[in-house]
Amino acid sequence: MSIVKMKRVRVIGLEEEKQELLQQLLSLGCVEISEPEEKITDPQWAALLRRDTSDLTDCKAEGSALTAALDALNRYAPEKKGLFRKRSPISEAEFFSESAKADALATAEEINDSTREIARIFAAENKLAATLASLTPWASLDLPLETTETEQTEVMLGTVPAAAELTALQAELAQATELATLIPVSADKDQQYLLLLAHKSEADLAVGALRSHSFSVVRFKDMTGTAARNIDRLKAEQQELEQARQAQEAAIAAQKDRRRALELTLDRVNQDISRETVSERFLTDGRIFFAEGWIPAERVADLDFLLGTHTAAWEAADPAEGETPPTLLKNPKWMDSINMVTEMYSLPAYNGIDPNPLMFFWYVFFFGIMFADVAYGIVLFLVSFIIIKKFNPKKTMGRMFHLGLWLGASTAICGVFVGGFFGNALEVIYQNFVPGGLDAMPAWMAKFCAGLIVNPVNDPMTVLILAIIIGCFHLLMGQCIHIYMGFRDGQGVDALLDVVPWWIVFAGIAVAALAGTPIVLILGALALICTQGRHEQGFFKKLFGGVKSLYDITSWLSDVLSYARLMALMLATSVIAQVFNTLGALPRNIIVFILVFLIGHVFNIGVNVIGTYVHAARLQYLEYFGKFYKDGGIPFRPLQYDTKYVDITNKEEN
Amino acid sequence: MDFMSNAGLYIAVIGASLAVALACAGSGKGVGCVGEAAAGVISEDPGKFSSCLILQILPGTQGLYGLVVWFYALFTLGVIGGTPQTLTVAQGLGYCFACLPMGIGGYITAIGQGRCAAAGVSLVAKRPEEMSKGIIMAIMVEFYAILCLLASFLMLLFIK
Repeated sequence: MSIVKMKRVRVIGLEEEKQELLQQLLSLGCVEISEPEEKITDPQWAALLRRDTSDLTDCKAEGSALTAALDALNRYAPEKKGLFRKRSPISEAEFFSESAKADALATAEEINDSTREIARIFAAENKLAATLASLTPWASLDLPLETTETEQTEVMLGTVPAAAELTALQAELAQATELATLIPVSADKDQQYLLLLAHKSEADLAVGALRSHSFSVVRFKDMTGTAARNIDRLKAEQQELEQARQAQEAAIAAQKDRRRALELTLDRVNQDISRETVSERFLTDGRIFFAEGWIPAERVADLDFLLGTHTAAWEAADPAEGETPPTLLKNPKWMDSINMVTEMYSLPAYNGIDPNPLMFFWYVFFFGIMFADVAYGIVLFLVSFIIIKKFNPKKTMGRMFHLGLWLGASTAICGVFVGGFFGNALEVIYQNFVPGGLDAMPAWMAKFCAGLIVNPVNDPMTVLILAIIIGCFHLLMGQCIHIYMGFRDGQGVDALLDVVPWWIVFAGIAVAALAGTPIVLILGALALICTQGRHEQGFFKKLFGGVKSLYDITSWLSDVLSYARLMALMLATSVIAQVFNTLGALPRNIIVFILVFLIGHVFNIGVNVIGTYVHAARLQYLEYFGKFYKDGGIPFRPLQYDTKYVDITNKEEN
Repeated sequence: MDFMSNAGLYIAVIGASLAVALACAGSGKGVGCVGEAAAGVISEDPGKFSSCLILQILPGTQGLYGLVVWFYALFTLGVIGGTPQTLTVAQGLGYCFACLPMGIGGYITAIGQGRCAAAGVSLVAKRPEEMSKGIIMAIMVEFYAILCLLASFLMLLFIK
């Protein structure tokens, strides 16, 4: 229930044992190796040691080959994917098997060869298609394409824009020379395709006359025979290419049984990549290495045991002045899920305080208040429970659904007190579908529907007041934590002075409202003026700082009013639910009712779960954390297994 | 039917119409705006369709809330499924104004949410793993639409 104490580790060992050590550190999963930037720029260090080399480039190349192969597989032999991936367990030895890796890489290479071949075929197909398109207009011309002249004439193919008048062209040509003729071949919406025959002596004249109408000459190089024959040939080629491409695609699809192996190896190569990345952080002179990093104090014994099997000198020291150790939060397993809320904000600084145990119950409670509905709570709980049992998601997903269990339970419990069961579904059902109407409802159910404490739709004012009161307790606890942290860090008086004058002010407001005497309030204001400017220099600045702090009363007001959202969202959940129930019951048809009921409540749960999740978090981040939280912690990122497709099993959980 | 004796009812119906019309107009603009951004992203990577779709439907809820208020108002007024009430002009105005928060608030929040979700789409384009944060930011806007719905609904519920 705290921020884990960190130790600075420094290790000097033999270069030849480095790879083995790194592999063991990866398996141990509790040491973070720091970047040696500072050391490398220090001339004295730089004279002795240099940054170590690694196989990172090779590993990354392997990684991208595998990724490309998997992408190709997904494209040509798509696999049905659920929302969650079930991760298969595997032993460490099997995971790092070199032969399996070599096999998978060979498969990947085959697939990637096929992909490259497909890309080549695609390029060729595109080129063919372009040539075909340029030939098609000439298909009706029974003149071999290679014919550019006869003994006496020039033979030219050419185009003019579709807008040009053919008869006008021919007339103009006739005017320029008598020894030429223009024969239309075909036309489409852009261009007209023409054949120009001209006597050799007059050819330039003929072309010159047509050029003013944007006549441009078309030549087909390297083609013999008529256009129609060429088109047939190209079409045949196209078919061949198509078949070749399909064959390659089938070759890729045929490897679909190797998907698991590829995924496994991709996971393995990713471990290699993280190991080699860390390897570059080691300093070396060729025979020995030096590395520096962080380890949780409680794991030092494990490292001791590990390094005992190597020739190495090492130490684990407390962090020096000015060093910022990374932050790792340690909480009981059942509370771990709240980390996803903390991490979305920012980790606490190393010298801050672990907010998880301080926030967990508030968060779950606020969520319950805002979503308050017995049925919705049960739905949330069951969905989370089934997903955890069936897919056992890890990391963020896992945390999300574990948190879902708590939130569901809390929602159901809060729902009991405010009488929500799919909104007012019970009342609507009795009223419309049960003979005897509302009077037929058992007494306990009627009591539940009226709300054991309050029914938010009938009496929103009471809910608002309750929400504000709960909020005040929340804020008060935040301030108490501020005082606790002050005493812990030796600034207790300061922390007390931050908070206590405000308590006098609040007490003063209460006294003024209840008894009508503003004395305590005035005392409180004076206390604020005297204390809040204490960090300023000089009397007037101190005084001004004090007076200025009176203005903070507005921020307190907005903090307190912010808890009105507890009421607003609770009401929103029940109102929207109620609207759908009413809508569904209107036609008095049970089938319509069930249909509207299902769609409506799924929608309501969907929209409100996200909204409630965010607003419960917001109350922690702004109102609660604002009172005490020191953020900006650097997350602890040890060298450890991080797999996507498989679970490495024969390794203790840490 | 004499126009003057029904004026109250007509004024109330104007309010209900505004609630649904404005809210739906806003939702339409918002959803459209996200759709434009989404189409651009999908042209690069069709696999992001589902993420983009989730972001796109977010500004659609205001229209639904508008419909809910409209429906509830007409139901209370007896226009749907019963005999229409006879209202004084003052009562009619009361119902009319009760519907306005959903109309005006829905229109503006839907557009705001649409722009926010469109920005979320470009977030998804660059960093698909951060999609949840894009959704959360868009949902922050939703809160104010919910407040409008609450205000309208409670007024319709308690106005006599």
